[in-house]
Amino acid sequence: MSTLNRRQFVATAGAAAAAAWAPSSFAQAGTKLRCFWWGNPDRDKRTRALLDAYAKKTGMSIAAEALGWGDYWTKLGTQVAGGNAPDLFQMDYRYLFEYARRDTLLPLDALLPLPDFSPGDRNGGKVDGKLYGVNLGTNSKAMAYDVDMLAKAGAKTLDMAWTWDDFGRIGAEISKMNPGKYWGSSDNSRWEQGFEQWLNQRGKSLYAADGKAGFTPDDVAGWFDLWDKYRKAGVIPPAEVGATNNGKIEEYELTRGLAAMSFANSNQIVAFQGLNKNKLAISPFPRDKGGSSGHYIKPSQMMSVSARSKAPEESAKLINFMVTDPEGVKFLGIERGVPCSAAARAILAPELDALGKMQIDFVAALGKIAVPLPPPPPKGAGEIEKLLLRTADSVAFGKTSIKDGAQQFHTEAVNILARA
Amino acid sequence: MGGRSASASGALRRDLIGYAFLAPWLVGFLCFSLGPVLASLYLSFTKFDLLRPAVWIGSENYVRMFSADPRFWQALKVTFSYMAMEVPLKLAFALAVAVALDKAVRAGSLYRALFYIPSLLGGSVAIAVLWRQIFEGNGTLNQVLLWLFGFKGPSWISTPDTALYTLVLLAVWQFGSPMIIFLAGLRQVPQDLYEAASMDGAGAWRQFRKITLPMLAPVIFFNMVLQVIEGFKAFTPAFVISGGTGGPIDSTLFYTLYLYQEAFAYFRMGYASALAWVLLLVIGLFTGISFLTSKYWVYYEDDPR
Repeated sequence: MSTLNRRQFVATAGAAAAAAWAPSSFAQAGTKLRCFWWGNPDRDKRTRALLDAYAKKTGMSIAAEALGWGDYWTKLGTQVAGGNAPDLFQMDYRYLFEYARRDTLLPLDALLPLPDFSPGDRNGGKVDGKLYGVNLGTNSKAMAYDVDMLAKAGAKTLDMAWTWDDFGRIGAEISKMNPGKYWGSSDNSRWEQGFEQWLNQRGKSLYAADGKAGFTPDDVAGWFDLWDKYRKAGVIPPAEVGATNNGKIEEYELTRGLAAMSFANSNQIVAFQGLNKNKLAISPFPRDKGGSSGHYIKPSQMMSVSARSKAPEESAKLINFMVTDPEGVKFLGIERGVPCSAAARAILAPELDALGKMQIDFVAALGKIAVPLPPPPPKGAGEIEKLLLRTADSVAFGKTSIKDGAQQFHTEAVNILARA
Repeated sequence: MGGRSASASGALRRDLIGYAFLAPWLVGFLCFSLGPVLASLYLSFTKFDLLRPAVWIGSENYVRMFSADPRFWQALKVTFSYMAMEVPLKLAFALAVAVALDKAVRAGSLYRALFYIPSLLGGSVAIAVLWRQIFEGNGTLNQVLLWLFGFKGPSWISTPDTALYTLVLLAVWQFGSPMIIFLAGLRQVPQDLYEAASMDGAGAWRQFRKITLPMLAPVIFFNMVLQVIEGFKAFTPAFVISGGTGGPIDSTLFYTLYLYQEAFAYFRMGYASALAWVLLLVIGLFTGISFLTSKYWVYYEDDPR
């Protein structure tokens, strides 16, 4: 039985070595965690600071990694498939169902009771009755804008119920100030979330509950038509200006000093302001006169634990540190959206700057007029997001007519959904 | 030397030594390449999203590719137009520089090194980012145009009609490795041919056409085959410049970029494997055609003709 003895010896020696190594006061000490998220420079700094502090406090070692939105899902998918998923990774509402239903996520109900989350905030992370994602903050879509430029155009504040006509009027006014170099708004016809919101305003949704397309070719044509009018009126720049924007904050026309307004998510105002010298603010989307705003409140990001994590409890504790611990909450601030824990909000409130207060007030004000959370996007939604980019560009460059572009987008979207 | 068996065992020994030297590559190939290559052949007949087991679907991927996938054809179109421009331009440029360097013997090695630098840098992400800076709306090129001629061009990189040209330019700029091969070829051309020709009163252009080009034909051919294969495999510049989308409107959707999107953005590993096999066949086809036609235009010195 020499092998058993040797094995025992190795195990004992290993345990002794580990015990000698680790600071003895913490039971978790020596645990290794990996945490992965998509982000931006500001978010990465905050999250790394939080992880460093937590590692120091507990004696764990935490490997942190961050990528941009597009690259993130590629890498995460590859890692999960390869059985090499990080212990904790950021999750989006768009992908939550897909990952949960493939048994790649750990149900967190028993580990994270989250008593001071509202049922709505908690349920946003549930799939088939189980909690798979913990809401790191809520947001809604928003119009981010340059305060001074809008003031120059005579729009001191944007009213909660401002309309698409107001948008066109103010935008055209701004474009007149520095013709050919600066525009009222970026071209948002290519932005899937904008299209979705516009559909919501019409009582429709991008995807139906059964995962099928919730829009018709006519809806798409209407959307393209709206932006075509703005393009012809000079409210938005010609196609070539925006065609390199693939959704990173630094690629937006607002950040590049080319436009005064841009569609965004409310929490992104923190990242936008970080890259902009001019003072920025957020307002709701424009809407039809007397119509619905189409806004809904959603989990901006969630944190999930891999079903294969070797340290599920430690991972859950780290999430708890992020969303409810007074120390942890301060690191993250409201960069990921408005925290769900009432205690966390109370801790942050006194320290918020004007921008932070604006974000919290914005989400609170929208809460009163918001429409219900739409069904989760089906598999293939990510591909349709890219499809809209291509089709809208093709229309904007004049390569495809609005009618053909709309029909093409609808047909291909239906195909993608059928194939996924 | 000894008997028959001794020479046979000598040959065996020689073979074994040969294989021993090949071993590092061979082991790598058998362990790390052959397996995945065969696996991809199998996967190309399946539907496989990485998370769930692969499902056999027969030839569906291939049928779809040729009958119902406009982006496949777009990717082929982009790749072929890219190569039709890039390969001849790059070879012509590399040859011109090589001929010039060949004449200027003294400073040769310094310039050779200088001209080779872009080839070392060219495939890198940093250069692709630099390219973006040069060719965007307010980029360097447009500023120079504005300063020299008082007008600005479009945003070369984000206009679908011009985006591909910026990538062709980037590829041509990396003319270093064909240039080095051309230089080596030029050194092999017997000088007495040129001497005889100039005695007969042939000018520089005529000498180039009648001596240099024919004598270089095998080298040109070799370079061309290499560049065609490289052209099919081009990926990094398009990926970086378009942020991985192949945009605007798929105008820089290289075949390899499309393959990457299908595999790693949309997790259709089966379909991507099928795309990879079609790429392999296309490259094989082109190389085959090159070799078959080469006998009509490539002259080898030991050719009995």
